[in-house]
Amino acid sequence: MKFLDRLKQYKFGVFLALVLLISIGITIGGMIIYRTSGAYKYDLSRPGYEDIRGDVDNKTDESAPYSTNGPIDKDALKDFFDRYDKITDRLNEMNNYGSEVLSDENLNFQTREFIPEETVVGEILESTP
Amino acid sequence: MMIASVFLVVQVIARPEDSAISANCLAAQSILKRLEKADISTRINRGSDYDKLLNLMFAMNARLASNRIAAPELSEITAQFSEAIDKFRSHYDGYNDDLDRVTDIKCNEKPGEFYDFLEKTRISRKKLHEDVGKLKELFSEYKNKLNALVEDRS
Repeated sequence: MKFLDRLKQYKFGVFLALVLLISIGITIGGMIIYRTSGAYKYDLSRPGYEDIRGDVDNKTDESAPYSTNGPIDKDALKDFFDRYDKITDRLNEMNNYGSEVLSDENLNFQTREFIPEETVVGEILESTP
Repeated sequence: MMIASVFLVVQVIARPEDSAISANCLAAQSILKRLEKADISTRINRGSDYDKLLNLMFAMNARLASNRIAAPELSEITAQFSEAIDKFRSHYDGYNDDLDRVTDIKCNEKPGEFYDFLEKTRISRKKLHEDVGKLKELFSEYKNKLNALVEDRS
């Protein structure tokens, strides 16, 4: 009872402490989700990623989405293929994760000569009676 | 007396000496960190464009259906394209984790481990390259089939 009476005396202080605890809890929860979901990997607002922020195409497509209704006529097909080709052309020009960038040559590692060789590893002598 | 000679083909796996790895690995890690950043922006741009293409495919399939034009092949390609995008995303996550390990390890102290992680990263990147190739194949196929369908009807 004494403890509750004391709490009532410091209502504002208790309120502030609770608010602080709740906000710390929400922040920690948010950070756990941010890390475990893998969202952080694509977060370019992290320090050290300033130089590549401009490389990401974040222009919003202002044209209306392609309609799922309407006739399949010349105009509809032209509109579709224009949109389609614009995206595929862009994709074809992008880096395709080729392997050469991770090669030993590119990373300046000298590789040992690779010479498959035939080596005599032993001679088995069997004497017959 | 019989003499049997045993020949064994010894294949020396191409791998740099540990000393060469230790000497150059810090510079390599710096290259890999730059590569990681470039790869992230490519991943974001590719992911966004693949989603836009998938939405276009869905819209066209729905439009064909509303005009009572049967196009099961296009629906099949769309489903495959959607699966391939999921695979690409999952493979990218794996590749990114592998690349993180290669760049975080104390490579001059553990050159062997560093090189093993690098080999693993190469395999992950190869998968990613194959995914990109598969996605390209599918979106090209979709366009060709749609063109063929339109030509058949005209």
